[in-house]
Amino acid sequence: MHQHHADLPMGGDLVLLLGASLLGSAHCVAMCGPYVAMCTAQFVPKGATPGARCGLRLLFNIGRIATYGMIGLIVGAFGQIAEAAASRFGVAGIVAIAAGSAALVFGLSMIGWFRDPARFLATAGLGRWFVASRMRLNRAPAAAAPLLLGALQGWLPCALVYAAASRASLAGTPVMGAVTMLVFGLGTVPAIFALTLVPQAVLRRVRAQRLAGALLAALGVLLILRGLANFGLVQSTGWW
Amino acid sequence: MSATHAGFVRGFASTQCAHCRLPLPLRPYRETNGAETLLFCCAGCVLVFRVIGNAGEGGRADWFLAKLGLAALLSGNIMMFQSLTYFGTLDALGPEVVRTSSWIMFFSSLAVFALLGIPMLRIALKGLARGRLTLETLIGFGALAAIGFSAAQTLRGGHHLYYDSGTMVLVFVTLGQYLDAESRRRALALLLPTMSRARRQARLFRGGVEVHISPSSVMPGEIVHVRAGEEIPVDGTVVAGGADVSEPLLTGEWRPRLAAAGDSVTAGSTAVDGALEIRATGAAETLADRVARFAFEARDRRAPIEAMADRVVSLFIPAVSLIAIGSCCLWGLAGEWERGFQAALAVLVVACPCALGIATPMATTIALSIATARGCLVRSGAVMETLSRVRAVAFDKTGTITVGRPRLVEYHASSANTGAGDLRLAAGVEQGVSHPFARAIVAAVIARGEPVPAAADVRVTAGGGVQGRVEGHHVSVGKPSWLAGCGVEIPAASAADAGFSAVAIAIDGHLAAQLVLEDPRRPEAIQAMTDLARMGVSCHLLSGDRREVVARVADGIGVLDFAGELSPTEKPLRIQALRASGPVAMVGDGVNDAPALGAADAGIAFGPAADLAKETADVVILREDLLEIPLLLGLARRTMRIVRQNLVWAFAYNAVAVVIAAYGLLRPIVAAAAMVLSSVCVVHNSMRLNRGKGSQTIMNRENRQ
Repeated sequence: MHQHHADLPMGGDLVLLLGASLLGSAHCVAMCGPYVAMCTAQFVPKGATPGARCGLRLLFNIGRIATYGMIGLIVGAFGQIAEAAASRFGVAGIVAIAAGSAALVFGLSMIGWFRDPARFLATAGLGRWFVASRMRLNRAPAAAAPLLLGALQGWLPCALVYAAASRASLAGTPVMGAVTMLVFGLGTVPAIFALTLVPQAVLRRVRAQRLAGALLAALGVLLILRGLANFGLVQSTGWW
Repeated sequence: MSATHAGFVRGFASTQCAHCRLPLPLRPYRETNGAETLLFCCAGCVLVFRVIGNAGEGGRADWFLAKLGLAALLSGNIMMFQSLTYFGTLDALGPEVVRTSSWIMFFSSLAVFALLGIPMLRIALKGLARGRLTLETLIGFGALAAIGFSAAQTLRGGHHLYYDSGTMVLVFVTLGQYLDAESRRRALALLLPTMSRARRQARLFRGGVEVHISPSSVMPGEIVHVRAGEEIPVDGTVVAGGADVSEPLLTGEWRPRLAAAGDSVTAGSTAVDGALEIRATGAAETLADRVARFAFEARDRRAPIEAMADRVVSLFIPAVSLIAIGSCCLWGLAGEWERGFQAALAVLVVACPCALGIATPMATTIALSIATARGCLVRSGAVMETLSRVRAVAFDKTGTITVGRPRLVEYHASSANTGAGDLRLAAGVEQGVSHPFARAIVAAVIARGEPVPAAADVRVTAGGGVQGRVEGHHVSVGKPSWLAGCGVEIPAASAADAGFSAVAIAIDGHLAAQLVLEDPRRPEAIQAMTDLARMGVSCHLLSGDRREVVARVADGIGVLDFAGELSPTEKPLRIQALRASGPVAMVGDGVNDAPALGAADAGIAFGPAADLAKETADVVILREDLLEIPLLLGLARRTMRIVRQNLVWAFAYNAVAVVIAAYGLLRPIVAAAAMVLSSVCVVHNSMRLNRGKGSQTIMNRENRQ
């Protein structure tokens, strides 16, 4: 579809996304840390060996990344259909512009120029769903519980995930969308493990959120430019 | 610009997210939690904060709602893709897109089926195991057939997809079930706080001062005072007083047992007719048990009209199956097996009664919410149906037809009287009693500015009177007839005139004084009786008071049938007699009405009724307005009329649609649209309740006030 990109190993957008996820994971740890701690307290027995503990954590993260993969599958499918429909009317670039606008909004909201667009999800009953689902999962079989709780965590509203999903919707097919999201999910794992070692006090002083937001906004601009290039309104380069 | 910039910097540097403790962005997420406003950096933090802080009250209802919401979202998408496929829009985009959309529908409907279909099939199979065909059987298997057939088509690359029909049916029927459950839950939630507020106060003396505190803060060993008719707030041992204690919560049996000093009592039981002093052994919270019991009760009570729907369905299902098989065979014999199979499937799909699923709950939900807004708490839709059939209403007099706060109007000292002190002594025994006469006597003494002495061994005889020991005297206060039964000599020439309530005071076994009390009638009573008569409902007056008093009140409001001097155990017998000619509602407020409320088809606790009366009642009317009763009956009748219309409509619609489908004329997309249309009709018809007389009359009256 984007023939002029095919020879590039990685789009500039993916570089930006990787940077944003590295910077943004400080927030991930602070935000999801208590959730993870609460869940682990439930499914890790008190006398568990470090090995078992690590295994359960691994299951938890597999669950989370599987959710990202599923998100990728969904947005990939919708992106494919939207792109097919748009190209039928000769406006294929419009999908990239829409995805880019979404990423831009989420990035700017992380900087603080917009109120968090995902707040509607929190008010529209997602919170109740979360609470209720977690209560149900407490009764799940021991091995499945960490996996399912991790999968549930993947659905928490997160600007980073949504920005990545915007990118995944342009992957072309559902499977490629899923792959994009899985790569994104895998990228968060080392950062999260590494960041557990950094003291909270240090994290509080770092304003990584704003930088991550700026990178996401840049990603959005990039995708919009890609869409515009499709219409021939801007010059197409290797970066978009 | 600079101001914004300063705010930006300041906000960023000085404040932190309430959850993740990271610096806040410029426009933080605000959430007001009671008094304090919390600031969050993003929606994710808000959610995690809630998940961790909230123990998940009402988790079951939330889970149900979440499942329903998700399924509705997915079904909406399936519907969209299905219509795009049907109108050929996707074909134009190429076979790849068609395949992807088919798979999207496949996975979405699998999810919908897992969320809603499997629970429904489980209920259906349970019913089948007991040899019963229910709505769930039809819908569960219909949806399974539609989704299963479509899934097979997707896997083989076919184009006959019925995903939308299968999923929409599940969503609509589950929506009906949710509305039903939610309206009951809401009615209960409204009913419970009003009932628990009174009971959740424990009364005790700390340093000689009477205090009302929550049972959970009662220390073990403290003495809690309980009045007649009140619920016992804590577990403990009786140290003084004696009363019949009713423990319907624990035993399911209303019949009380006697608890005297040394006996142990349990929180949640009611001291029916006496004051108790209880040494607390441990504070107990009974609300949770109570909620569970009410919830189960409400869930298990199924409206008879729903049972009727089930009966019809049990005929409907075999008929539909026969038609489906028949049309398949007929088309098959004509050589068109493919078309025959599709016709059979269309019959099954279109026979799934979406509208039927919401016909009853939609109307009763709206009716219950209208009633609730008016301060009438109706326990379930089944009660609504009973109310619609009520042809006779029996009223208690005191506190229901009358205001219930009698005034002391006359005082006649007997020859053996020792002075005005007897009224003071009487007030002493009556102090802990919630009967209106008792309050009038206490109020009269307080109005004179005299102190009310303390009493011991207070014991109430329901429907009779009170006795106790005050300042060394044995004091009895009650009906003259009851005192005579206790051996007190009552002169034949009673001081009380006909039409007024008489109370006699005996001190140490001798008549000291006779009192005349008047209980003014409620101003709206005549209007209420007229309204009921116009609706073809007969009114009856049942009272424990003297026959002359009851006759006078009955005459004043135009009620022909009345009975006085009924004991609490005689009232249910009267109700039983009335029930011979049709369903009876009983309206009452006192402890002595509780058995009658239980005996009636619909028990209505009126106004600030005693806990026990509310406990036994099917309806609690919080507002002290008798006109609520004709309005409530009218609302119930209109509700049931609409339910019947809905059911007739839904069945007729399905019957016609099945015939069309059997001919193979009904395309799946048309069937789905027709089903939605039918449901919209049912919803719209139910909405007419909102425009009815009941709610408007009340609103107008509110405005005037």
